[in-house]
Amino acid sequence: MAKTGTVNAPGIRMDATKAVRAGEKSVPTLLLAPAMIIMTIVGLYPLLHSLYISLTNYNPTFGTSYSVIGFANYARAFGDGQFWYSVGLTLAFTAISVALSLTLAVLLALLFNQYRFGFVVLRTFLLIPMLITPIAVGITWRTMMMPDLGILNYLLSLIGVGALSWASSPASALASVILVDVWQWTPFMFIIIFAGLRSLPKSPFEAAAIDGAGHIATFMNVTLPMLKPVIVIATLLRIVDAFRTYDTVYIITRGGPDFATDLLSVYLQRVNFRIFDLGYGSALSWIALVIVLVVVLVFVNLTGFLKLVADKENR
Amino acid sequence: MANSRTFKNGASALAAYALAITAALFFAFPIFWMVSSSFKSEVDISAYPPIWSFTPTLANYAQLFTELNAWQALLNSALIVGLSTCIAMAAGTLAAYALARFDVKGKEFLAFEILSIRMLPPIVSVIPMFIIARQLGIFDTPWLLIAAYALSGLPFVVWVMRVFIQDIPQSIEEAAMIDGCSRFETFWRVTLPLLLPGLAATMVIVFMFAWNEFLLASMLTSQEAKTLPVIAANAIKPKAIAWGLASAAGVMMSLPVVILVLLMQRYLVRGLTLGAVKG
Amino acid sequence: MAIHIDTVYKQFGLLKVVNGVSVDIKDGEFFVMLGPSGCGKTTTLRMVAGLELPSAGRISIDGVDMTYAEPRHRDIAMAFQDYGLYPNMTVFKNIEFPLKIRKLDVRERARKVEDTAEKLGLGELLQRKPSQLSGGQRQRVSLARALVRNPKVFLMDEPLSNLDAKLRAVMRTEIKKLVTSLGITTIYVTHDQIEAMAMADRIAVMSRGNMVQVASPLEVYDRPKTRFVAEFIGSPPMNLFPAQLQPGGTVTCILPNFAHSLREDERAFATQIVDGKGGLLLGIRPEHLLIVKAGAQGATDALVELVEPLGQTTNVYVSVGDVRFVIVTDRTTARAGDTIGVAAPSELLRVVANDDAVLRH
Repeated sequence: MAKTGTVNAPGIRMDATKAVRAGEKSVPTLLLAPAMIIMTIVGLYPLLHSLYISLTNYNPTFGTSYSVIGFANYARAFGDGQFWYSVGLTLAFTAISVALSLTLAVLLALLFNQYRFGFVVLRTFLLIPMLITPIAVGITWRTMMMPDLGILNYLLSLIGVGALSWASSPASALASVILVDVWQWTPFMFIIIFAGLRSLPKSPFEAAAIDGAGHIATFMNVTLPMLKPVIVIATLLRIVDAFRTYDTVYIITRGGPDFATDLLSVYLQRVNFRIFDLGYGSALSWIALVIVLVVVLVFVNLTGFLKLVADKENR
Repeated sequence: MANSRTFKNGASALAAYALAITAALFFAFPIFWMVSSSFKSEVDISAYPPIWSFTPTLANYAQLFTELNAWQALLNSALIVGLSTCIAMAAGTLAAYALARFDVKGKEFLAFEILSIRMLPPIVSVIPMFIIARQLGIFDTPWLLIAAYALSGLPFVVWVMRVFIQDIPQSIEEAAMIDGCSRFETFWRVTLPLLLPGLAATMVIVFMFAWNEFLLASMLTSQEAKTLPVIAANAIKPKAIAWGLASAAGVMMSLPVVILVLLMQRYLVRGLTLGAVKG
Repeated sequence: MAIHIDTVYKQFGLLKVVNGVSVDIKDGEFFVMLGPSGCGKTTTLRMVAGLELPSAGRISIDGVDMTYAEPRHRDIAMAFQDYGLYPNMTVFKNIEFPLKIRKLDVRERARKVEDTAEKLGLGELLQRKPSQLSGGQRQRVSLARALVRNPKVFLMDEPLSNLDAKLRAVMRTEIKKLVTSLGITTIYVTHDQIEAMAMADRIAVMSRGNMVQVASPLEVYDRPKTRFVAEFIGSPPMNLFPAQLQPGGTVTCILPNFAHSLREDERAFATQIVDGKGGLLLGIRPEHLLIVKAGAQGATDALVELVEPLGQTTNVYVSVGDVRFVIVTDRTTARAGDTIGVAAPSELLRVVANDDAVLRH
């Protein structure tokens, strides 16, 4: 042993017992406790309460007394044409909007994957829409889409296209709302897919070039399969969020005109906070929740999402 | 041959620039329009055809504070979003550390459980929260929204921070323990400094979601606890819409998020994808 | 400081990783734990460090029971495979860290850091961050950080496996010199048999959570007790042939000319293997086999299948009927398809147990 002597921490216990170190086992529990408490009180409890409410005829506009009516609300929901119309509309909205922004995002990612002067700056513009408060997005697009005074129809008139009715006619309202959603959330998918594209290894592309594959063949056989995990994750997150779209639609159309954009969240808001039929509204919310879960599960199973995540974890 | 190739390259560069500029215009124009509208006078804003050059005025912003009570909304937003973000960050990071570094029973299940809250449409929990809040007498107070936002930020923090923590080699923490640190000292002196960029990025995203949230805020407040998105939405009345005012509100509430996120761009992708994609 | 490991077990769930390991490591000894991945060597090391707790058994350092003590109370140092450097600190700060935690005086700290850095040739690099260093330099920093506080015990977990072959050889001798000159008890974990042979005072060969054989490098090489040890150490590995113990105290195998009459100490070992119902093997190192003229007295004729000239030595792969083995020799004129004679000097043949389990009581 060297003569300088050992450097020791002062006042230590050399002979800790098993019990002392066994106390370390409670460390993870303590660390998890705050999160678990918040999730139980603010998350789980209201959820269970909502399940209970859905079995009653609670409606605060009729006073505080209410009674348990079993599954009557659920039975009523199955005959509620307006509800299922909203479900269908929401699924269509989600499918079209996500498909469009995914396609657009992939194309943009390919475009901006070229190293060209100025592209970094242009790319930043593509980022901003997803940062804007959805309410502000709704306000701005509603202004721009005004049929008589809006800038969009003015710009169309400059290139000789006649005025469109945008969100004010039932025929084009859904398309208009989808346009806004695509505008706001394509950037989200774009930056994820772009980052995925940038992180791909070079050699498969070089191999494809040597094998004589053209642009399209390379994209279909090399780029797309390698990008799959990134695309799957981006799409899943987008589906979940698109399904609950509320803010922009609330501002632009409030579900109208003539229920053309009466998405599930807008319809539920009306049942709950216009008519205050909270028992029925809770039942509808639960059905909506189950539908989201089914959609997510189907997607997860189709794409092997869990396996992708597990692979990432085990890298 | 050489000539046709140069020509081809030139043409494809031209096409690339045309497409890229079109895309940038498409995504940037509405923002430009919002900002410019917010500086237009009432007359300028309803001009048709729309005018491009005008004398900018701050009238809309002034009106925001005099008529829409923006000060209070700004304070409410800052308080609610600030506190809920801090709670979510603290509780979430601790939980993430436990999941990343300890053998917790049923860890995968727990992690997925936490994630499933991210899937939950807020419309499901808004009714019971509304009822409970009325019973507890905390309806229309900041506390209700603080709790709600802390909850919705939590799963996100847990998932993302778990990945950031896993990125730090465990041997660094073990080296610290052997060098003489207790578990707490190890976390405080070694792990935390390394986590700071990840923490900041996660915080910005949690902040953004809470700051922009409208559905819960509009249904769980009525007068006192209104946040910025709620008063901005109030500028839109079915009959008389104050476009300049609404645009000013939009600019004011979007600005902090845009600035914060652009500062943290490097870690953004990691955070947005729950840590699954490296940016 | 002597380390005493007493029947230590470690179980992760249902997985038994360390299976009753007992060993005494002497003060100042350079002790190497060698084995393939998953053999329990790293887990054993981590239990000595206090990073894992044993499921059963005791560990004491310098006579003090440290089985459940926290790592910081054991006065040990450790070098990690991925170095475990603090990426946000400079080299100076990295080396200083253990002293800072121990609240040493600032000037004292600086002096010690500079001394240690000088010793390891890091004097020029003190203000760099780990990311600006090469792999070899990083490993040097991790060694400096470990040595700066004169630990009682130095634990090393495959510290060289991330370096390229040339650097590994250089660092190997450097570490050995340094640690020996300081007289620090060292436990070194590796899967590289050459590293183990070159550095160790004693080697513990581990397999499936057991220390199969603990002995000096040459003893392990010359007298491997089990098939696992015989095949893990040496390249190409020892030739092994299924064997029988004859009543007269002779061991014979399928090749009649490869026979070995047991010495006194070997007889007990061979009996133990046979009594334990373990298979008995006869083994010989490839370089101990001699190539002689085909048909020579006492030699076995073999067919040459492949010749690998490596420069310094030559590997000759041969077969006798179904039995295949390898000979290491100097340059040879033998070619594939030739028939050669192979002689096995009886005193170089070894008795080896087919199964590790035989050695457990």
